[in-house]
Amino acid sequence: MLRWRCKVLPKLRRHFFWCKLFFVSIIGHLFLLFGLLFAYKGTYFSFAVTINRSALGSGAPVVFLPFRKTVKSASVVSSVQKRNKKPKQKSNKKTVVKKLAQKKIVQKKKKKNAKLKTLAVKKEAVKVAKKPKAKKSSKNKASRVAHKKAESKKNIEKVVQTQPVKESGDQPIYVGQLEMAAIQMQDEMHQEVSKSWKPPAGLPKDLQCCVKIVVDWNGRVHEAIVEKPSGVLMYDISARTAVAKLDELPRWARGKEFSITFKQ
Amino acid sequence: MKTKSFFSFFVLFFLNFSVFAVDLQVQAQQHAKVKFLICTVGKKTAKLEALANRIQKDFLFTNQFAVSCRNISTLKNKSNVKKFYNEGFPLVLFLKKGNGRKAIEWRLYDTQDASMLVGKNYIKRGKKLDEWGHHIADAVWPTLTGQEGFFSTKVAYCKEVRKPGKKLLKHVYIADFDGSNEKLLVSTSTINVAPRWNRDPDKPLLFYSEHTNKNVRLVMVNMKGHRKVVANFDGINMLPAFSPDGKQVVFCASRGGGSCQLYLYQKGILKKLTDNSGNNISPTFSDDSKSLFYCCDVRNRCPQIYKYNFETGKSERLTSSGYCVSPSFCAKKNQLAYAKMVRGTMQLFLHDLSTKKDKQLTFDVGNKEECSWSSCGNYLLFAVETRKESRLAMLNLNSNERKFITAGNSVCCYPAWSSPYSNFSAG
Repeated sequence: MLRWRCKVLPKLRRHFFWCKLFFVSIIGHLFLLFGLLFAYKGTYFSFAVTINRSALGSGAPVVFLPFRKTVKSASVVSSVQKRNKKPKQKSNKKTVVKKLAQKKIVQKKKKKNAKLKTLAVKKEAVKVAKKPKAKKSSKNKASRVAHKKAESKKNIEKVVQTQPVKESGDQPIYVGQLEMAAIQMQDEMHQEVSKSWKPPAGLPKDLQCCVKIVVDWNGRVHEAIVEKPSGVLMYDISARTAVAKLDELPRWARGKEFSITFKQ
Repeated sequence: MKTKSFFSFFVLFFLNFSVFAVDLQVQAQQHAKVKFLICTVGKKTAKLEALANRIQKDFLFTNQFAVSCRNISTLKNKSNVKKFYNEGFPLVLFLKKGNGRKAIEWRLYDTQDASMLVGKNYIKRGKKLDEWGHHIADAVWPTLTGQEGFFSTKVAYCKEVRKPGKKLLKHVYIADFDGSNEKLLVSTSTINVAPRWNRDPDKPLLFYSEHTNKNVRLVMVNMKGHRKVVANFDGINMLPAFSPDGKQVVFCASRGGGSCQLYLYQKGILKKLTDNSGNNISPTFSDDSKSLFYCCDVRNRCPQIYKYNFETGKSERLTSSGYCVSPSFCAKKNQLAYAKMVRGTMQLFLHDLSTKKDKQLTFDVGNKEECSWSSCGNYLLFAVETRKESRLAMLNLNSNERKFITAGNSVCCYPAWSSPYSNFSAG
């Protein structure tokens, strides 16, 4: 079929057809790549942002879990909690709702059987009368579930109260593969930047400025933009100068973007 | 063309999403000076070079900049400015002879993108080249640091003069903020003490107390050395303090009584503010002119710092213990600096009026007395007295660095730092 078509088509048109096909395939590949990259980037981004250095700097022991990619424990990550805040209660609610829905369906089926036996008018009347009852019963069940939950919560609270209160600094921080990698990256970058960060003395101590840098493929700073200036020009300039001094950044940093907050 | 643009769009889209963001917080472990270049443009003249050197000295004094001076013949385009960035100067101040005889053009450039940050045509004020330099430095400083410049301010103080065969005298001197360009202002054959500046920005005046055979009188002197007696009551007349608007004056006078009291002079009327058995001295106004800080030794003859409220007419004690004297108020920081005796040595303290907490600033040997704030609120000027000498020192409150501004072999005391005046040659 294709051969036949190719033969039928004039030479110029044939070339144009192949070009079109080639171009469409390229676009398709690009879309695929883009999709893959987006998915990859999504996971990468989450762990890059979630590490809380202040939590790590508190002196708490870091426990590395080599067989887990990420550990979303409360002590490690604050931002992850905020993002992935889908508390277990919600899931419980969902299951309860599902159960109730299933029960409703069963009840409806029963009603339908009853409908066949009785007259149409009577059936409708019965339907109208039964529906609120069913709702009431579901409500009662829901309230029972809520009561049970509250009780369980109370029990948990009791357990927590009985346990000795630990200081946040003593609580171990569990870290997965991705988080560990992020910590290492941040540490490496931190060391590199702190070498060259030397602000002028005699400025107010609460100053801080945020510089966004883009690292090129040679490991040098391609672009440095002061995102949040401190309000003191020489402070911002010394931050910019510190960034410009960065030379041959680690391989993993190449082609990436960093926002660095410079503090006194 | 269409295919090209389509393809480039995809590539850009692709690249844009390939980057990821990492947030880092970096704490400074060291301090370094910012490199700064002062560049005179055009024909090299002695005046322009001297001006550049003056600005260089001003900036070097702060210990925040590493300043270099250079002359270039022309400045053609932006690439000429960007060259300085490659040489390691992120900031360059260009100085050029302006239009007209009395004009100097200055421009501050960010050399990374060759953009002008600020620039002006300065019209020379006064006759001295150093003053022009101070004025330009003052104009550039807020852009660099976000703070008010203090380079054109002056320092007044008393210096002991002991001539062979004659009695000890104290003369009044004024100098630039860094102690340079010292000028003898009052050289009468008397003991002159406690100079204080007025608050009129266009007409600088200095008030000091002169010991005579009858009393200690209050004398006013302008920058040309013309003097006038302003308070000549019996006993002591000294230490005037001006309100921020310059309309109210409070000074100490004993008026023949045994103790020194505070008097308010306003619209030709003299009003007694304090009336107690102690000595009330060193008044200093608050920023809103609603209260006054002063030193009083009414309790056990041990001086303490008090706050006088003009609305209620009542005084409130700020310090609780020790021997506290010479308060000096800073409106920028809402703090009060004073001297307090600690183990037999006078040390400087800060009293925060918002938190009501005290903080010791100095700890070393030598009595620190009579502190005075800079107009920017970052420096404190005070006298450090040891057995042999008394020198004026300047303390940077941010970096805790101290610099002496007078020579070691002299006895200088009673420093008073002026607020910025438009022209010191006037008046």
